[in-house]
Amino acid sequence: MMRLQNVRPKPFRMILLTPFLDVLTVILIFLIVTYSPDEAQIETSNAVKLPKSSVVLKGVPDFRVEISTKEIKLNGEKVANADDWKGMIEALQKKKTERDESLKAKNIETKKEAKEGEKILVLADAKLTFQSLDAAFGHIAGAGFSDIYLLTELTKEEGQK
Amino acid sequence: MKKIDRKKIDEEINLNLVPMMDLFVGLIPFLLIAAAFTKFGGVDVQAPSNTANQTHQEQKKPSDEVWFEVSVDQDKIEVQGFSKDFEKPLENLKAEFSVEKVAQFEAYLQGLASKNTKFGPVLFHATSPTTYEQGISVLTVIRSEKTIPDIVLAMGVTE
Repeated sequence: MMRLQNVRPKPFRMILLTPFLDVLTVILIFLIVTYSPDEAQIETSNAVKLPKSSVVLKGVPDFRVEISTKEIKLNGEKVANADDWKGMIEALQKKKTERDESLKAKNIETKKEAKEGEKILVLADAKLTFQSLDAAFGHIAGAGFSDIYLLTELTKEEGQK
Repeated sequence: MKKIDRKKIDEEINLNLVPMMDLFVGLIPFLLIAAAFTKFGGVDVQAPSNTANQTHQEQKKPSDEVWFEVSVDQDKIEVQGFSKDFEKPLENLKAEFSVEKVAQFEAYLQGLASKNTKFGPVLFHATSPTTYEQGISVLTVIRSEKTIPDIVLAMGVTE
């Protein structure tokens, strides 16, 4: 007697993609969270052509002032016309107060946060002279900002020093 | 009957993962590359009020520190060394350079650093006709010298 053997074709085994997808998902989330640099938040307008420098920017302050020949902007919003330092100071002090109140509301009053509140990033056009910038820096210092970061375009010579 | 049920189950399990894989393979390199493009440079300086508050730290510093004053007047860089707290000028530490040849100023600072000169804060001043670009080129050189602790901007007096 012949035994009838069931000749079944071996089932096609699909490649297990689940672990692969797990790894990719974790990498993707990690990149989204980690590689969201603060520098990407800095928006420069066409009115400002930054000077060049080879020094890397260390951190991005919460306050950003853009000074051009036409206007003065604070965190991307126009707050005053060119050379209207009074308008700039009023806007700066208002923003500073808002920040302090927001931190108070969240019960965050640390030395580090206080120190961060004294930092400001200045975006100024390369062609401006120190005749106006001198006054700008003086008013910024008078408004309570002690650490001033002058934003520049990074040249290709970075990392040489 | 059983064979038909198994076929139905097999058909239900199939998922098309190709679009999801395309998404991941496209997004991850994009994020990696995009993050590298957003690089800004920046020179950090101090307002005069900040250094005035550091007197208690200054007392601990040795007295052989050299404090420099760097003045930029359009196309001229004047460097003058002082003893601590800008008490008295040091005659042997005085130099002048051209803004267009800022590499000479850089070499000067590097030379001083190689002689183990202890730098104190540098006071930076620029005259009114000096452009921001010229000022930044000098500030970049000063900031690149890592042994210099702070750059203090001499500013206009405000009311």
